[in-house]
Amino acid sequence: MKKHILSCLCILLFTGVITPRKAFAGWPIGKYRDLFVPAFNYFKATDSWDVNGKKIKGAPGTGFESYALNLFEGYGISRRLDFIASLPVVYQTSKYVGGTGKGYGPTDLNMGLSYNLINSNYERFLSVQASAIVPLYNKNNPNSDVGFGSLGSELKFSYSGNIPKRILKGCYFNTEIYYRRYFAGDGPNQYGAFAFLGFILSKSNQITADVTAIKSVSTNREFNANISSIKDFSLIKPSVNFGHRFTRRFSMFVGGYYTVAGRNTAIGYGTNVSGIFHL
Amino acid sequence: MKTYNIFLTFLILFILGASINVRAQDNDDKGTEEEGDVVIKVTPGNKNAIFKGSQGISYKLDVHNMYNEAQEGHFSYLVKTDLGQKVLEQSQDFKISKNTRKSITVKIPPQKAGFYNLSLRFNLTSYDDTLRKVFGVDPETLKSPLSRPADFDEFWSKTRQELAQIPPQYKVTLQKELSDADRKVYLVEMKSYNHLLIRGWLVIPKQSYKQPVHYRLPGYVVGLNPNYDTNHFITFNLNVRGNGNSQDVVNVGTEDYCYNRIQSKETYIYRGVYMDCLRGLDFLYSHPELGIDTSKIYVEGSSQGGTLAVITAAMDKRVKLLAIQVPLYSNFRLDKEIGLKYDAPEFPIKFFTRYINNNNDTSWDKIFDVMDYYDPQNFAPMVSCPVIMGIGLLDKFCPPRCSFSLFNHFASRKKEWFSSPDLTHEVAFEYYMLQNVWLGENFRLVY
Repeated sequence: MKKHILSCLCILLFTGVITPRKAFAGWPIGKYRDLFVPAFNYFKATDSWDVNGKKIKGAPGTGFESYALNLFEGYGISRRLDFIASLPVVYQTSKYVGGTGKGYGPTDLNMGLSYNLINSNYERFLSVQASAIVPLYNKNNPNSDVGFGSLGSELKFSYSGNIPKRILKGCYFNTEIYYRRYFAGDGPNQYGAFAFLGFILSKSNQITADVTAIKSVSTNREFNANISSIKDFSLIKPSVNFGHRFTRRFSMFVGGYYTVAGRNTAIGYGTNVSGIFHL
Repeated sequence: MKTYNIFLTFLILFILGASINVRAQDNDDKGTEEEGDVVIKVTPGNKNAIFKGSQGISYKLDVHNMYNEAQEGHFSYLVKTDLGQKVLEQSQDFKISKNTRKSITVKIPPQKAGFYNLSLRFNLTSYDDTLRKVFGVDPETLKSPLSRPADFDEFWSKTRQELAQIPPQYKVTLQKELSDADRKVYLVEMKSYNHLLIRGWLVIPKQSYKQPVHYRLPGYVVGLNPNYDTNHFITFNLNVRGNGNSQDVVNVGTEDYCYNRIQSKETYIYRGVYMDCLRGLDFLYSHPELGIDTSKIYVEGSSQGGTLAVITAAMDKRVKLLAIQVPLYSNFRLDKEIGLKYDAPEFPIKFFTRYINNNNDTSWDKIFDVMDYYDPQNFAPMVSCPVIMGIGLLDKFCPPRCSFSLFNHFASRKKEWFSSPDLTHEVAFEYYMLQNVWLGENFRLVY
């Protein structure tokens, strides 16, 4: 069950990082423009997959629940170069056989630069992003043990833009692949991928669908009393969202997701609400 | 869970995404020449065919022989300046087997600043053709003398004073049949220079906030209609005298327009035309109640419209941004020199040549005496707002060197250009996407 909790933490962490990205689907933010995306995320899980990917039913009365607020800020330094920063703050509770636990506070600050390598007619963009991961919590405090507690870095490539009308009218896409390395001796090394499709329904409304895959690899595969040191897992999480544009400077997305496959992680569902402010 | 298979799937998705781009580029490719059964794709070493003086110039030619027989003969290329002076000529034997492809790389040594005509000739067994390209070298360093008459400022100051004496008598009429749920369309009428009535189309998207304005000016004797292309701007398309629905008094043919009443600088048609553009701007600034954000008005035009946009931004500092494509009449004296080197003169030099030939009492010098007051290059130092310019390198109406003569005289601190190497009197779609990005940056817009 402790593994279960860890997995949920990991899900939360990744969800927090990824959610704002889909809001603007990887486009360069634009010179001098500001993008601020607060996102709220709720996640609940009772069952899990074991280390072999076998589904394990959770014991009655056990489970995991979390609330997270992620604050994303992006600023267009130039036509090609963006500054990005993301800060998730979580509150989580867990119930397992023989006890309960909770953790709260800021997790890992992700901060870096995104550079547009190639654009095609200013409609499709290939970008690279490099960022640093800085833990903002004291891992020795049991109430704020909400991550791996080590510095890290991330390198991400994204390709995004409008889908040509002759292929799919009124749609846009984003694909990302990334590598994340935590600098502790046992990592983990994480490999991620993200595919996103947005369908424009009308001038103000759209629906989006995406799928996230994460594989976290570490030599440390053993269970540890300190759950945040368990670093080896994988998961796949599809998501569906509805977006509405209230004004040209403010939009909201509401959606849900479910972990459909995984290893050493939780089976859970969640919902998220995000606001997109173009300042 | 077969994790690696899943990641492989994502990688394929990523590559597929990238291939959308490649396919789109292939389908949009304007560099493919199809002549007979030999297809030749010409790709400049730099995508925009603009090179630095310190670097060599290169082109890659992909030759596809679609004949069922080998092609044999010569391939040669000739480089000339835009004034027809030979720079380089090379020839080599060329052979290609039937139904095969072959690549050739053309390397031209570094050249001094300017624009150059490149002719690529194939004289083969069953195929004989010449492909024409133009490349530029360090165009931003090109110098061109202004031809401003001594009383240039005085002339235009007096003309503006005359315009100011004419009450505009604005009339704004809602056009219900042209409006829809998302926007209202208005016919705008006003009195301009010499009391002529001119008209324009104002399209106002239904928004709750003040909106930036796209003020568009017309090409050569081109009638502008309401612009429905955007919901992000109020659009105002003005038809200057003799264009579109502003032909009540001035209604001359396409050929006559450019030299209409050119006998003196006081009577030349463009005196009133230039004032029409300023009057249109006056209209926008005097009607904020229509939802116009008067702090965000940009003026834009193509060909003659580009020139009119330059003049408007030069004479009225209220213009915040200037966007032009293939501006007509730029460095008109050089335009004439280049134009007369073509095998057959093209517009507008062709029309002026005919006019001179048909009128014994005129000459190029007399034309220049008037055109010097109207050459947009002579207005360029008065432009201080951000500028974006698009050109087509194969343009014979507005030769690229003439456009850069204009561009290099802009006093603007922020100015940029875009080159379409395979287009003539037009710019590529990509330019307009860039222009949108540029507008967004300068007006801090959210689309």
